[in-house]
Amino acid sequence: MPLQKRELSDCATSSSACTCSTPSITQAPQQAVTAPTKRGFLQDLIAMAASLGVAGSARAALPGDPSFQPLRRPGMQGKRFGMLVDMRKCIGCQACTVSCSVENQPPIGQFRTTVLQYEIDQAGDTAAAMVSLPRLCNHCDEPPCVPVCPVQATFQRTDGIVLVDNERCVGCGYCVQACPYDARFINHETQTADKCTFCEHRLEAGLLPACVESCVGGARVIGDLNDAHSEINQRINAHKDDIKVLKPGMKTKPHVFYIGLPDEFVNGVDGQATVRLVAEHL
Amino acid sequence: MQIIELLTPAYEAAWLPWAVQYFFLVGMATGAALLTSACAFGPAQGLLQRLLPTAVLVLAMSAIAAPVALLADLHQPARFWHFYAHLTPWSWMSLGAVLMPTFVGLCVLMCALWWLGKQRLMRLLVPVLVLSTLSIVVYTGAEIMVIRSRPLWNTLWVPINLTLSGWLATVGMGFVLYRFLPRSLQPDAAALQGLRNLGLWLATGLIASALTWGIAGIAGQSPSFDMAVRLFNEFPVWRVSMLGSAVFGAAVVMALLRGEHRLAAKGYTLVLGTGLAASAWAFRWALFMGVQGVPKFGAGLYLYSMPLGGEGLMGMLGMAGLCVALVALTTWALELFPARKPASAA
Repeated sequence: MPLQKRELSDCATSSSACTCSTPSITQAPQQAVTAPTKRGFLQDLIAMAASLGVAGSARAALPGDPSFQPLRRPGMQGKRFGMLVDMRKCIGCQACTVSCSVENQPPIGQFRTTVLQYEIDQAGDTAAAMVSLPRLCNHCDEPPCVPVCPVQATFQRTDGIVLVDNERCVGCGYCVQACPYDARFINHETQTADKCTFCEHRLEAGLLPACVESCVGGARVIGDLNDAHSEINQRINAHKDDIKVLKPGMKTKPHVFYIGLPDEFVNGVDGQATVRLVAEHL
Repeated sequence: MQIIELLTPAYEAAWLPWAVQYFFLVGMATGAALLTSACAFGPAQGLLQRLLPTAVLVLAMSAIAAPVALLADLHQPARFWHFYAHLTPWSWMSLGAVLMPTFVGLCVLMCALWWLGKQRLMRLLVPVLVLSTLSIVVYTGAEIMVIRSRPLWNTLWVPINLTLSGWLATVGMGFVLYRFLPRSLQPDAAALQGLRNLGLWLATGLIASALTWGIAGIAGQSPSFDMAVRLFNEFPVWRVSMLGSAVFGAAVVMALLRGEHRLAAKGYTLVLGTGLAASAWAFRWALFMGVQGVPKFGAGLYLYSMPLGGEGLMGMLGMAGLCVALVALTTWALELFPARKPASAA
């Protein structure tokens, strides 16, 4: 833990080298996303020109081309954030769920991160095993949610973080459908798409995301994958053979990595469903 | 080894029943636009010309009502102008925001030209309208088909089926609505038979496309077929609805076949037309609301409990009411201000 904190506080101290001083997206999405305004206007102009065929070569891809991603927007310079979840250390206490909800205030019954819990019955007299599977946005390198957005409200930054500008979002739900991980939802209060932001407002202040900060077992590690010496890279290298991501077949290149993820959980769960709580009944 | 879920959240449907209404009406509108285009070229007093008023009525109703449902499916409908402020050529939905109003405008123009008796202008408009119609067919299908996260949508079978069943709904709605036209504009027995023949061709196309999907699936070429088989095997609700739609589909085809001698009975065309439209609507309900209940990661199904308000039942009733109002207004207007006879038709 201390190593992690030092790694991130480096970012805070060297804020002149990165964009830590830019205003938080959650507080002022429009300004942060399009700042400086002139550039935002130019981007819109290029998009409009492309749609009219003027700059067709710049955006030659057919809509829906799985290999196409729009240009990333400026993020923390030189970084690529990722998360490592060590399931062997997760005790399923839901502290991450609670702290995320306290930090980000999603409506009751809607979650940016949560821990799915399963019982595994094995043949014979073996006692039932428990699996706690923390879930959040994978901040994929090829996020299928981004190119479908019809108003470019959702976007990826150069540091890999996928965000939603909820002042631009029209709430069409297309990104919610496109995400293979159920990481997005339509926020009942804002009526716009909502998702995990890796707590980028905390990262920019040199803090850890709420879920990482509160994790009792130290199961969640966030860090810069571009830094060979970061704790996340060291841990990933130390467990190279046991690193898995969810649904690798979707070719989204998820950047939330798991240690100790059973094969039966990689592509989805085939088992007995639970009685689920529906938000409006809570 | 058995996995039992203990604690998992429910993920709600992001697309509301409004989407079902939109895809139902827009599919019907594309069929009506093509039918109107074909009829516009029919010889004077010919079968196609006698079918033209019915096609125009279906077109006017569906083309005006469809975008209302589309707008309502946004959770932030007042922000629709963002589509135009931030055009996004790589998103099908953004292209749709441009293509859809164009199509609606052309449809309304076509209806107006028919009412004004400008047959020559109608024929001039046909190539543009047909192109615009095809753009709607492509965009509505592709919009769903590109979603890789849902195997049941990520297949060419979806746009094909949406198109053919939408056009079948055009035929069905024609059978339902023709009776509300002023008597002089109603199709005669031969024209109704023509409509029935069109329905038979479309039903044959649908059966062929379903068979192709099935054969490709059995040959192991279709993840969507594998998923459908899994749903059929595991969940009684899917089993009942799949078998139910097969039985209902067979009944509708039988009714189309038997229509050869029964179309003169107004009750028969009403039941047949409602059945055709209902099967297209039910397919969309299963495709959108049913498939959204299939977890992307979890086990089992998500239960969809339909809200009674605008996001559910009231929204659907409202759309039905809008359609009734449009038909009532159009047919009443035709009584008050009859369509002018085309100069060349005499």
